[in-house]
Amino acid sequence: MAYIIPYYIFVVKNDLLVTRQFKPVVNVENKEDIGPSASQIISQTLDQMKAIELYNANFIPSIYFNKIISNKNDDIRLTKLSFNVLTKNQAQFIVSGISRNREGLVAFIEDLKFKAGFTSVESPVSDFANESNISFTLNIKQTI
Amino acid sequence: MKLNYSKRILVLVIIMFVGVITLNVTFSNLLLHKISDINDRVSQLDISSQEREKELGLREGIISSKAEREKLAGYFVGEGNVETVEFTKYLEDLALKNNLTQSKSLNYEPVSGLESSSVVSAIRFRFTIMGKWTNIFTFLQLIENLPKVLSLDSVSLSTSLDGDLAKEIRPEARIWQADLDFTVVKLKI
Repeated sequence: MAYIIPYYIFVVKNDLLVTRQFKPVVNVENKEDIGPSASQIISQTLDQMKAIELYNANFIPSIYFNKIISNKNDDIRLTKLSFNVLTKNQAQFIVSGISRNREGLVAFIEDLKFKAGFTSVESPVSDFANESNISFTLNIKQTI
Repeated sequence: MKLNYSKRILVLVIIMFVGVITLNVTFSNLLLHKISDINDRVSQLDISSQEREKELGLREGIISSKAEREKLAGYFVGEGNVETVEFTKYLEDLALKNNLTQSKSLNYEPVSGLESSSVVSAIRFRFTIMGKWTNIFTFLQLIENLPKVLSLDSVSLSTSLDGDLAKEIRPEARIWQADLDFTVVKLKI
């Protein structure tokens, strides 16, 4: 008994002292302007990196346009080159133009298939109806 | 009489003993409560300081990666309409420098795959330009190589030819039209 009461009084006194000392520290921490939290900044950066990842696997159409043009022979005149994305891994190129003759058109299609290495090159058979000044449209697909 | 006195003393001693025991139990309980209260506060303080240390550690990492994060943000059109206008003006100047006439439309869209993001959105540009082949092709390559997070969704390059190759003017002198449909990622905040 002689021990417990003074010890209790001592503990209460120290508790009050510590509470008084910690109160301003806690108040400062609560009022401190630390801007957006670290986790907020990390989450923003992650969204930015995800966007880069989503846009990363893109087709660069000019590379394929160059391939088409460099495989064009003297009998071919191009009037239209178009590109559109079919799926994430597949793009479609539509090539229209005029060929001086059938041979020129056949050679152009073969070169696009075998030299340029496009995944598929399709042309409607009706394009070969005329002997000269043939208007043609090719449907080219490329997979990456 | 003597016995009565002894009895009184005994009763007094018993009362004092019970009093002391009661006080002892009461103060022991109060002390235990206080100690347990202090322990709770100490452990709360520990958790709070651990969280703060963790937050401070993360903040240190964030401060040290500031330059890299700014560089990363540079690959996006900045937040706000002013940045959108500046980027659009940059594209218009690019067309002008390449002797191309242009018309365009633009609108905001969510980034496909990040529809609910509060950080990024996309601007969809539909550009129609007209000019010589080399200029059109240069403009296309410049768009492809813009240091922005960008996706070309469709491109159409066309020119007119009367169908008779014998009458054709020099191909390089022909006027081409290009329709470019692309999206650029923009920061929301």
